[in-house]
Amino acid sequence: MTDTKPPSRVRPWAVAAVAAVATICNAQAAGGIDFSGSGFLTLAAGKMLGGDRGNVNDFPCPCLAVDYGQGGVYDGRGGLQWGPDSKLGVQGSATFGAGGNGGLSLTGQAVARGARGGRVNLEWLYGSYEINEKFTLQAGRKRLPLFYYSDVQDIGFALPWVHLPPAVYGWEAVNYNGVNLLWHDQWGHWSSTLNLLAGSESRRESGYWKIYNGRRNRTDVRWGNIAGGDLTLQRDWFEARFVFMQSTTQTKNVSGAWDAATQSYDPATIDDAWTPSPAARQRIHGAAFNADYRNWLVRSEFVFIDRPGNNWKDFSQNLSLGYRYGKWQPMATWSSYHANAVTRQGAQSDAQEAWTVTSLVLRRDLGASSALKLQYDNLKEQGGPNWQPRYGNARLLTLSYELVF
Amino acid sequence: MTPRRRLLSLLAGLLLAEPARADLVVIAHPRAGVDQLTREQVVNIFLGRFRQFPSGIAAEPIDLPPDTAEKAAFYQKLVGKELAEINAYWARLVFSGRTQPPRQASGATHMVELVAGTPGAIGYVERPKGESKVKIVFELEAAR
Repeated sequence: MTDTKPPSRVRPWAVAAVAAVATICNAQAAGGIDFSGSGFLTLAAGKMLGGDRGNVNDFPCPCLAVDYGQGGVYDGRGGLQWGPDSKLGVQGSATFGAGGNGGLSLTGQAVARGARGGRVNLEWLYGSYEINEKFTLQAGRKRLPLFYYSDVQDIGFALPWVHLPPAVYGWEAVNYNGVNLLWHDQWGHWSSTLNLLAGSESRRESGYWKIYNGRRNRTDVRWGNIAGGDLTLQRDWFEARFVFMQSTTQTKNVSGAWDAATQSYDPATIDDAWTPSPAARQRIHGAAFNADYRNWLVRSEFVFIDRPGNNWKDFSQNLSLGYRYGKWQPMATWSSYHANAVTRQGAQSDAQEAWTVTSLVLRRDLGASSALKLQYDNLKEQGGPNWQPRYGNARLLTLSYELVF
Repeated sequence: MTPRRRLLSLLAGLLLAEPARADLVVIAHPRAGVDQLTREQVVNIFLGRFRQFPSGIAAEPIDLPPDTAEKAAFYQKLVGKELAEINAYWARLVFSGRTQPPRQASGATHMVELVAGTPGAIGYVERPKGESKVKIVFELEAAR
């Protein structure tokens, strides 16, 4: 087995630059440049209330993965667990031009998260040029907008949950390097935002693959030729979002996958080269329909991912209903995921990974920029008899304090 | 009614009465090319959905400082949302780079100055008394 010391994704110069800009409270102008800084904090503690016990993929279960992109998993260890959802981020922007509005700007965002052992990652670093009030061109490192809340998956205060429904928000790449064009317009009574993007992503030590290959596994991920876009339509209290994206996808399992029989990492599963070769194609389709009608809150999202090169299809959805009582907001969510193997090794197409999560969340706004949330999740394992890794059922309680500044 | 009951009735009335609400109006630069806006158009401009007047002129919304009563009243009357909900909405847009929040005035007087001195600017204040350098384009009392 190769040395699995995690590679550092920290770029000290960039993080220092972002932090320096972000510490400037409120916008300040200097030499025709407006600087602004902001940040966010989620301090969350979770406790596993019960579920199926056992050692799965080197995790002491019961287990509930709440952040696939970062490998955030609550497991069956006793006591409170602070890592999977807690994070601190700072964002700095420099806007060049009169008044700090429009024109050219540079934005960076660095995040330290418990799920990655507190290491700081540079999540965003992009330039933005506002061509006019309708069109904005951006280039650099950004969040891959696969899902409705992808852009703010780290900003707990902007979310109605402590953690996003993992059935939908669970994929191997969350960022990309590339270009995108934003187009804001008005179509009749509907305001619209179309975002077209192209780029690529290389991710070392994917958090997603730790969940499938083992807690200490290192699997690298490569997405090439990413192309697609998302369209958001809004009218009064209703909002619809559609996304389509395609790319190639490859992985390289550097450290081998967890072998349940020997309770160790199996060197026979180490990839010496990117697999599959040539890279497999995938197509991602998504739709979200949301409503904020008077005090009622509805969130729904449906995702279908077609990976013909890997012979897999993925289906996931979530549906939430909430109600606002002044500063209180209770909400119930049902989400599910299942995968179909198309032809792989003669496997039964519908006997693969499948599970549902039912969640109850109570949010209490403490002020205009901070909130407390209490969330209960109940995961039901519904995978086929041959599906591995089989994490089993789990019941989790999480409490979080969230702040934007 | 006995004096004691009258006193209790008066106290109950004082406790149950809604606090006085400012008569807020949306104001725009006189040369923004609009006389009136609909609630939908004001929502689109202030929530960053589409920032253009029907005249084709780019709209530049201006907000009051955070946690001011007028700002809370404005968004409550416009979209029925608390400031925390509005801030959560903006957190999504700001941290994703999709659009920028409204420029911020230091207070009502500064708001009027900015709107009067910036072509395309649009803000909100208590209804001005007498002559004003800005044009009222929407009345929030009739909004919801």
